[in-house]
Amino acid sequence: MTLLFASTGGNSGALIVFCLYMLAVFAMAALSHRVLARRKFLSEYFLGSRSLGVWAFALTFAATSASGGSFMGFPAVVYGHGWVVALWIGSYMVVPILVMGLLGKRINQLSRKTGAITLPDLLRDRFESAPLGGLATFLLVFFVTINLVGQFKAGSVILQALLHDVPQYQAAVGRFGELLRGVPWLASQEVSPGPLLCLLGFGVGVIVYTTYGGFRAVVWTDVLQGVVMIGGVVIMLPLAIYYAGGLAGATRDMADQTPPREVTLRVARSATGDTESNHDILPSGTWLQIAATDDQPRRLFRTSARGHFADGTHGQLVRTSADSKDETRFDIPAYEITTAKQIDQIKVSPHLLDHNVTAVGRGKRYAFGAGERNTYVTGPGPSLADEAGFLPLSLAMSFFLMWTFSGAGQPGNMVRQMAFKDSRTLRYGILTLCFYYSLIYFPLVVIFCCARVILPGWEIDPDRIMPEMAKTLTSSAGFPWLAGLLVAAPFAAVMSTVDSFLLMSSSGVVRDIYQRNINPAASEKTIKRLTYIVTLAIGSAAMFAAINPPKYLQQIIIFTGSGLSTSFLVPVALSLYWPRFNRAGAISSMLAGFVSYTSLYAVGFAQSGYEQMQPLQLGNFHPFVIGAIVSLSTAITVTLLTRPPEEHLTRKFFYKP
Amino acid sequence: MAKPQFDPVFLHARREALYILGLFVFCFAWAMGVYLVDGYYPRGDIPAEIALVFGMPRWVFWGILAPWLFCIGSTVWFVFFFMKDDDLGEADGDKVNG
Repeated sequence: MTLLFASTGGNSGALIVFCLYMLAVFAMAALSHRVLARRKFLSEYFLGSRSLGVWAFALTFAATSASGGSFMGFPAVVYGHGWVVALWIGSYMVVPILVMGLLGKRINQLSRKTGAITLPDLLRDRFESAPLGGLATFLLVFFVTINLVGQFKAGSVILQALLHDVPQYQAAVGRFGELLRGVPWLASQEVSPGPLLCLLGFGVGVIVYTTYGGFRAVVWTDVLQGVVMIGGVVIMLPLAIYYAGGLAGATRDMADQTPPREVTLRVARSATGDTESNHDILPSGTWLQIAATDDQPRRLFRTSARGHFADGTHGQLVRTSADSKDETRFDIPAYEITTAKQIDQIKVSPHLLDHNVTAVGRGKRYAFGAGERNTYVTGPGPSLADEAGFLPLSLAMSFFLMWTFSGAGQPGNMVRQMAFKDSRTLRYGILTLCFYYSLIYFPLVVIFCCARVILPGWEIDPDRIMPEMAKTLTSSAGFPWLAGLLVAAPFAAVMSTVDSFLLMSSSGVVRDIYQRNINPAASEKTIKRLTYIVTLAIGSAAMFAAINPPKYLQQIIIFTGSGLSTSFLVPVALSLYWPRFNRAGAISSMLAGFVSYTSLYAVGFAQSGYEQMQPLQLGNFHPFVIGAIVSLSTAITVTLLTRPPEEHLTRKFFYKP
Repeated sequence: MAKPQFDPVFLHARREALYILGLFVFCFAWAMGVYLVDGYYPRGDIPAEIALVFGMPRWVFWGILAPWLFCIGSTVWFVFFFMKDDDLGEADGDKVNG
């Protein structure tokens, strides 16, 4: 912290805002730790003693669902595909009422009737079935922990964007890099010190305040984070529209844009220049050109990796024979800009004009939308890999179904529905969330459509578009310190998801595995100590796994997020609304959802390769839709083929006492 | 013995769930319908000019923003006039220790 405050660079204002925010988060954790000392430990630590009011309920809901995916992956998706993403996310118009209203009242009632603290707890008591509780715990811990990995990566990316031009940070990275050379495992993973330092900073911060403060700390920080997130969007929206030249102007510019082309460039030192003036290192994101000639216009490129002449570890030096490399030339991946207006406007730094740039091979065109006008303002939208485009009709339907029902099936949301105070809180919670989401999601589409016009060429690293946009907008407007608040918005989103997922995971282990199966007579002191240890351990494990994760954050989040709902939505919904539903039906539908969903992903990975992470989409439908249908039909068939549930269970949960 | 009666909380929650599902189906059909008719060009046969409403493509305004505003209205109505307040009971303590 002192290191950050000492910054004298242009970002010091931003850093101060950001640090104040972090201090507030830690203060809240400390306060809730004091509340914790006065209440019954488990139900306070994992459920805030079922006392959430309207604002806490609505904002913890909003902040938890708005994950790193919403503020990092989502802007990247809008940036990459244009206006069609408004439909991709369009179901957020019904998400608030559906996600809170469909199951909320009954989940809350049943969790009170059973005294359940966690979701597996609730299912176990609803059917008086330990195997069902065990299965639910296993699935929950499995998916949640994988998701945590993606969230940790997002946190680290945001911190990097905030800090990367602060001198003190660069110095710290240098020292940290020297330390790392002594760690053989990290050296073999080709980890750069900067991202790792950010990951550790973010991870340790979140793990500490979550472990220390429990659910109430998570909810309070969610409220703060929820306010920061909406503040960020509300500030960015007018700035983005203004700097893009008005919304209509931005849309017309987008209509003229055509997707870039993936190419490999060969960069050579100029024959005349000396080493100094040739600038040995080209950072990722450098603009390069091939100057116009008589028979070909100027070609413009943006590099997507770091290039370095003298050091073979960065960029790809050109091999001249099996064991020697040419230190005057390297190959580097880049995107070629194909939009005429941008090619005319973007200048290449004068010192780079001496480099001799050639394109190796013809490069890779977008599979859909290459060379097409209007592709960024209509459906299905441009796609690099998919010939059917980004959002064919069947996928549009899938996503509409998925965001809503997958949201309703999220255990993180269900746990919050167990924690609100009364049904009036639920009613006003729905209303608050409705306005909240409307002010976040549609404006985000507008903002990042404008980003296509304001910041061209970010196809090189789309996950960084949000922090870059925040910095650009605020410094153009003359308020660079505001970037701290804006960057804190996605950071807040990630933190609020990580903390609640961390708690779900540890509550699964402590309550559902240890207390209910291994040692029901454990003293409160033992439970307390175990809870702290487990929360700390799961968080640290996920953080270390995030050191070298796959590239596409949004894919990880969709994989795990909808995996959870595929397994939980049908069994939980039917257990609330269908008196005939029995334990055989619940267990089999949960298993059927999980198995069908993960097999679609497994087959898809095997076909498309690990890097792509494309699931198998039967009939072009998302695995969630297929998985939920399989789960529902299994639930109905198995229930009807087996004996009805015991009468005392039906009476307890469906009839007047 | 009299036939046992359903818990009113269950009945209310079920009625509210049906309203919500109905709203979902309606908005789903609306958004997909407009997309199909005005925004979807799977074979790349995009017209040369795309009409704009309030600075956004016409299909986005009518297919997404308009139903979105409708949903906000329906949610307000649901919250104030449709959804019932119910007594959800008290938790009977921590099951295992209690």
